[in-house]
Amino acid sequence: MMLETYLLLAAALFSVGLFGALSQQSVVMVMMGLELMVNAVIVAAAAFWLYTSPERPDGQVLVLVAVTAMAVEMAMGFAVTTAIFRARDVDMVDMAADLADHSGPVDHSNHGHHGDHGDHEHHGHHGDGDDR
Amino acid sequence: MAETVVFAVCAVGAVASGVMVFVVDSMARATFALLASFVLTGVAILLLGLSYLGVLIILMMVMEMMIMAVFMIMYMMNPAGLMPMTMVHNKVGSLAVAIGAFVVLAAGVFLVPWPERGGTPPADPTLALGEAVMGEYMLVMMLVGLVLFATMVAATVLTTHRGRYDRYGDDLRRERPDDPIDGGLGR
Repeated sequence: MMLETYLLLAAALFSVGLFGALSQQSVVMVMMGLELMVNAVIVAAAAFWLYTSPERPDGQVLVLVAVTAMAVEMAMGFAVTTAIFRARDVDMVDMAADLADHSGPVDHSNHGHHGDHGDHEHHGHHGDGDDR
Repeated sequence: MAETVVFAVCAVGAVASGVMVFVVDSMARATFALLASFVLTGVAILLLGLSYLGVLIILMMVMEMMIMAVFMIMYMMNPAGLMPMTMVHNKVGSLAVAIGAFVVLAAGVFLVPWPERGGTPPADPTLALGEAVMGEYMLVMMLVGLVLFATMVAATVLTTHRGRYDRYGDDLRRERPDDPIDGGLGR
């Protein structure tokens, strides 16, 4: 029964993280949601190790890989946040929607000033991607 | 019995502080709520007998959240939470997706016939892990090392303010890099 309890904890943590990653606008808050989701993987892997095959180290190795993934996610997330903030003064995910399908209403005018890194010439070509 | 109580407290606390991350106004408070969530799950992992991995997770998360607090205060417009504000989009949809994911996962937890426990835990799980990563799973360890090294290089390159085009010109043809302060011998 304990395996199910641990997996339920992992499911709850994963869902909370998923909510955060989907709903937050700040890039750093999105990363917090992702961290919670990886944390759920760690809990589930540790529980699987003890309650299904404790004589094999596979579960522990999986925990180690998940911890590494979390550290890498954190480091690269902050690096990308810093890079895009330097280049274009972007600190919210809605402002970095260059690759998005712009059929929906995306209002760029509300988001303060943009940097000088070529954001403006993209505006004339919206919809081109749909034709090709 | 005591173990069950500690686990229950940790599990409820971890999920509650995880929810708090996305509820509180203050970004600093959100960071420390996330830290509380990680430490409580670390304790839950300690309860499984994984003393090394549990302590590793707790120590790593404490350091990571300290760094995160600095970044939060750097990048957020409301670090102290002095005025109430929310920065969310599509909250209803996200909530629906999250609850749906939880229901599906919880149903899976109780419906899937999990395998019976085979074998007993080793006397020292840390020794078993160490022998695994130095033997059977050495490829995993080597890849992890490589990925961490690549992460260090990539993060440094991404966050460096002056790139190679600033230093060597647009066509990278400049003989000497154009730095604010020259380095090297013979200045």
